[in-house]
Amino acid sequence: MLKSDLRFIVIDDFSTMRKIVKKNLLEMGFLNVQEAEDGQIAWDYLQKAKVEGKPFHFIVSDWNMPNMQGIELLKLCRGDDAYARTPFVMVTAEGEQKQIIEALKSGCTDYIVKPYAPNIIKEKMTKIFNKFDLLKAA
Amino acid sequence: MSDVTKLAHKNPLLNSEVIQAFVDSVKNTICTMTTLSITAEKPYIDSLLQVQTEIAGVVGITSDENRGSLILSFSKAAILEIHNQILGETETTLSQSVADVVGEISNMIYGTSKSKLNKIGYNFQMSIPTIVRGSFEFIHKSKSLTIMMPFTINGQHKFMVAVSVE
Repeated sequence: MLKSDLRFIVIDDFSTMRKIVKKNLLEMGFLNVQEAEDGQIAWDYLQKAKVEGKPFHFIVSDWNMPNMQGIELLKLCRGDDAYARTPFVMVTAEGEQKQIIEALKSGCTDYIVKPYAPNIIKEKMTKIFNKFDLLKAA
Repeated sequence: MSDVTKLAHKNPLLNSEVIQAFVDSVKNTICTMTTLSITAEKPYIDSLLQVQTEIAGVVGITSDENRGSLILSFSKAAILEIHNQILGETETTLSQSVADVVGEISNMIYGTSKSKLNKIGYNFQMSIPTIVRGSFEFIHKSKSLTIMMPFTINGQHKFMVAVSVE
C-alpha cells in the first residue's frame, strides 16, 4: 500500500493539535488525513467510511472533548469489527497513570502525553507502521 | 483573622508545591511546544483577581473539596508570538486559530499541573477550557484565594496565569 493510500483520522476539539498532527503526517508523506472536532463526529466519519468499504487505517484522538470523549470512541472502535485492530493513538493532556492504564486496557495502541516534542509523533507513528506492517498490508 | 489565615487550613494555593506545579507546567509547556525563552516572575496574591486582557483561556478546577479557575491571559503580542511558533504560521490578528492555541495551551498546562498535584495527594478533575476574546476583566468570588503568576517570553512579551480556588 502506498503512503498516500493510507487513510488517517485526527480528532481534537482544538484545531491546534489537529494541525500539528496533520503537518507531521504530511511531512512523513501521508496525504489522506480527515479531521474531526469530537468523538461523535469522528464516529460518524468512521461509520460512513466503513459503509463505503474504505475504512480508516489509523486513528489519532484527544481524550477530553465535548459530545464524545476519546476513551468512549476507543471503546466503540474496539467493539466494531472494522476498527477492532486499527491503530488508535491517544494524544492527550491526561498524563496520569490511571488514565494511561485505562486507555491501554481498552485497546489503545499507544499514548502520547501533551505537551510533547515535535519528533515524538513521528517516532511513535514509525514504530506503529512497522509493528502493524501497514505499508505492506492490503 | 486575615482572609489568608482563614483559608490556610484548606486552600491548596497556600501550599507552595501547588504554586510551583503550575509555574513548572507553564514553563514546560512553552519550552516543549516552542523555542521561546520564558521567565517566571514572582507569584503574588491578588485579593481582587484583577485580570484585564484581550484573550484568555479559562479552565474550571474541581476536586472533592475545592472549586476554582485557571486563567491564562495574554497580551496580543505574546499570544501571536506563541501561536506563530507552535504552528509555523504568521498570524497578525486574534483569529480563531489563535483562540484555539490559547485553548490547547490552557488544556496542556492544566493537564500537566493536575498530574503533578494528584501525585501529591490532590484529586483534581480534568475539564474542557473556554476561550474568551475582547476587552474584559474577571471578578472572583469572595471566598476565593487568587495567586497571580506573571511570565515573560523572549524578555519582552508578558502573560499572566491566575489560579483562583475557594
